[in-house]
Amino acid sequence: MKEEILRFDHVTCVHRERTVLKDINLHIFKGEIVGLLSINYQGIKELLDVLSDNVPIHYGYVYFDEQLVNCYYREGSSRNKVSVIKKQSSLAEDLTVCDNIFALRRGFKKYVINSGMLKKQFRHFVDELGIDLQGDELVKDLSVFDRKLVELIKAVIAGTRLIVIDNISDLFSKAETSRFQELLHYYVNKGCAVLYISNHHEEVFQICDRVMIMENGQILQVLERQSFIRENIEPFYLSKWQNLERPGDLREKNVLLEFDGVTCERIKNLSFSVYRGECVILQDTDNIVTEEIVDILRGKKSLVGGHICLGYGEYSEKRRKNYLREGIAFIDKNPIESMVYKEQSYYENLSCLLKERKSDLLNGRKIKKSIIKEYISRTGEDIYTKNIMELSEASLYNMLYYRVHLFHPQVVILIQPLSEADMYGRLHILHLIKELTKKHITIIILTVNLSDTLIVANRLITIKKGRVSGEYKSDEFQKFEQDAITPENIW
Amino acid sequence: MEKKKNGIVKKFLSIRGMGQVVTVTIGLIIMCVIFGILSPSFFSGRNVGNLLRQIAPILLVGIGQSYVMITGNIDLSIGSVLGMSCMISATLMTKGISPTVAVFITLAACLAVGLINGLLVAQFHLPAFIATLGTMQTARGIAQIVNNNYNTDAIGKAAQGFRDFFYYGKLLGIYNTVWITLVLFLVFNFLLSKTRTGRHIYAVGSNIDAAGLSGVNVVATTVKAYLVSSFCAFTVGLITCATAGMGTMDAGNMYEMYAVAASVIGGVSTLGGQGILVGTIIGAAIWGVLQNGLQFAGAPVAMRNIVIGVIVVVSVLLDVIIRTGRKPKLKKSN
Repeated sequence: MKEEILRFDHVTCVHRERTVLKDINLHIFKGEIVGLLSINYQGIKELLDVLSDNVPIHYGYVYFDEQLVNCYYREGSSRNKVSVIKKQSSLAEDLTVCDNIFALRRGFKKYVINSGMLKKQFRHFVDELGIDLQGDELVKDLSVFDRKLVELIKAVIAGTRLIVIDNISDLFSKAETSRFQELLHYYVNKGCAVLYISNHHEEVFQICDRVMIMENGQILQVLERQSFIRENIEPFYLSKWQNLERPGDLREKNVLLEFDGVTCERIKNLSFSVYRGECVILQDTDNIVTEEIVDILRGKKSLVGGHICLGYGEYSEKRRKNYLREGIAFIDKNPIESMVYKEQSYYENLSCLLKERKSDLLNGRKIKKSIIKEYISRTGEDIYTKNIMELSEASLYNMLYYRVHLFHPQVVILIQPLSEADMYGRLHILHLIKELTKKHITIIILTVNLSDTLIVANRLITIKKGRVSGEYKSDEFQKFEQDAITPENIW
Repeated sequence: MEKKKNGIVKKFLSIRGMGQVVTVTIGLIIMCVIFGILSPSFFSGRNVGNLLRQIAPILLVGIGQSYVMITGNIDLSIGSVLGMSCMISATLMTKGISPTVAVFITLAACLAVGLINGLLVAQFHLPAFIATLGTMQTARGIAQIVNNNYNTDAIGKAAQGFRDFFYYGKLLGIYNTVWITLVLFLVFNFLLSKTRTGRHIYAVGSNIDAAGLSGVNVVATTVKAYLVSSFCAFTVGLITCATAGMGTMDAGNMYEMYAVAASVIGGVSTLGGQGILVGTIIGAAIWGVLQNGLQFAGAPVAMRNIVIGVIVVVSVLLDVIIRTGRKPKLKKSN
């Protein structure tokens, strides 16, 4: 008989008079990887809180290790042996790998720390896994993938029965994702269980034994391995994408941005061209050059070799330092955190890039009126908002993308635009990207994994080991069906 | 052989914060050589003894401040607690209370300030700067009020043992002040580098959320750091009292700045999570050597302050450059 690790029995959670988890039934057995395909993020945080900390529930029962640990009529006991690995790091960066794994865990009893002994124990673990990690390395010197590996090892060493993976694959390249999944399988075979949360069906189908589809805090359907086909998730997922317009072909092919043999620290002889009005994906398959490309285009890094041309001529270091004036805009990976001026009004946020063009442009009331008149049909009444922190995430994304729309740069670089968004969020962002393309703004999407970006792109350029490894037009996107939604899946 | 040598050097430099310690140690040696050339009596046995005694209090408050700064906070009350320690102990001794009892009462008062600091910062989430600015004023007020706004009289012959223990006495030809500092350094260095408490202090400064998730009691850890800081200030307060033979209300004025300077010059990061107490020794030594050496060279007080100020700014600048300029190393994907 299978050993049960977790059981949610009709769990309902109400938070501020709103039902955040509705009648959840969930079974996870030892040696199993269960997927949770989240159509939206609603209820995920609450689910994890109940799962790990036994926070009070409104109705139902929670069993962990076959023991009742939480139910609606009495307070739950302390914590379950659950570790959550999420995007946000749970490691102390200034401490070594060994310190993080051993000394910073609940139940570490020894007061005086013997670093040599810890290193030996750590060696034993990594040799078993065949990975190249040193126990005395500082965490801040590790790559993102290695940090997540450390978190995984820490979870296992802490005696975790259930490991929750919460949407971390956006941090990894395809190879890293596969490697991480291999390690998960290894620990699952050793007796752990995994709850794998993702909002990409391709990913959960690849690794999980069972998949639950969740939306608005409710499980909509449970799929067994034999039912892992796209058609089964279409009603919940893909059908909502059909409103997007299919990208059209380029009428003229005028080169706007060209990398010619560009070499820097990690980039090696990188050459590619981007046409005016095009939407191109640059996929950094081994997750090493994205940051460097951005630094180069922003003038923060000098080239070791090669040239970059933008528009009429060489995009020199001097021009790169004034990238906004040169018509290059950026939208960062998590723009709501990094690009929103929280103390300023919606209008001030919307129009802030225009100052780069002409500093006194915004002083006139007429200009303000005309901008509001032009954008109110897109933003609605949000444009009059003074305290933008009251707005929804979708409204904030509107504000950031319409900021670029209003600025009308030659090129906009989108850095992993879909990495922080759930399915509805991704759909919304893709609509906004479409709006930019309609204004003939050239778009470069820098990404580590394809996610759903192929739907809006004209071309995909893959980069491996710092140089171009492949180039694909939209009619060749079907090749990537295993990794991402392709236009053929939808239209 | 050469390879093994390189390995040892690499291992030594890979010790947390050792890089900056090596840099500032080289700076210290250069400074000593320059002052030695400018004034040959700089290296005389007497001056070296005095120099060590001058450095000791700065090192002690530096140790306290380093603990707090590694948790990502700051303790501005350290100088006032020092003054409070000096005034309370002196007042009690002049009232005829035995030095031992006076020391324990003073210790309790100083640790209470540390406890309040820690709770305000960690439990009530007040910015450390503001919380300790408040306790700084309060502690200074207590130092003033404890003897009705007057400096105390001389602590008297009954307290001669106290004065010998903290200032005048010698062991193996070295002043007791230096021995006390050395013992406290060894204890606190062990606590910080070899124990679970030490790791927790670094973890809180490095990533407070991660520390909390890993089961570290953030409030207790922060309180411990502030208690160490108060204990160090208390000790220096007693040394100051023993040195002057009386309690002075302005004892410890500006010591919070000296403490920050010693820590920062020695490589303790203002952003938390980084630094070692060996660095604080070097930081305090640089401060002491500059004061002493510039005095020997006949430089005015203003010049000394300017030089120390510039060195503090350069040290912090170096720290920021090192922190922000550092990129995660590249590794082949497994």
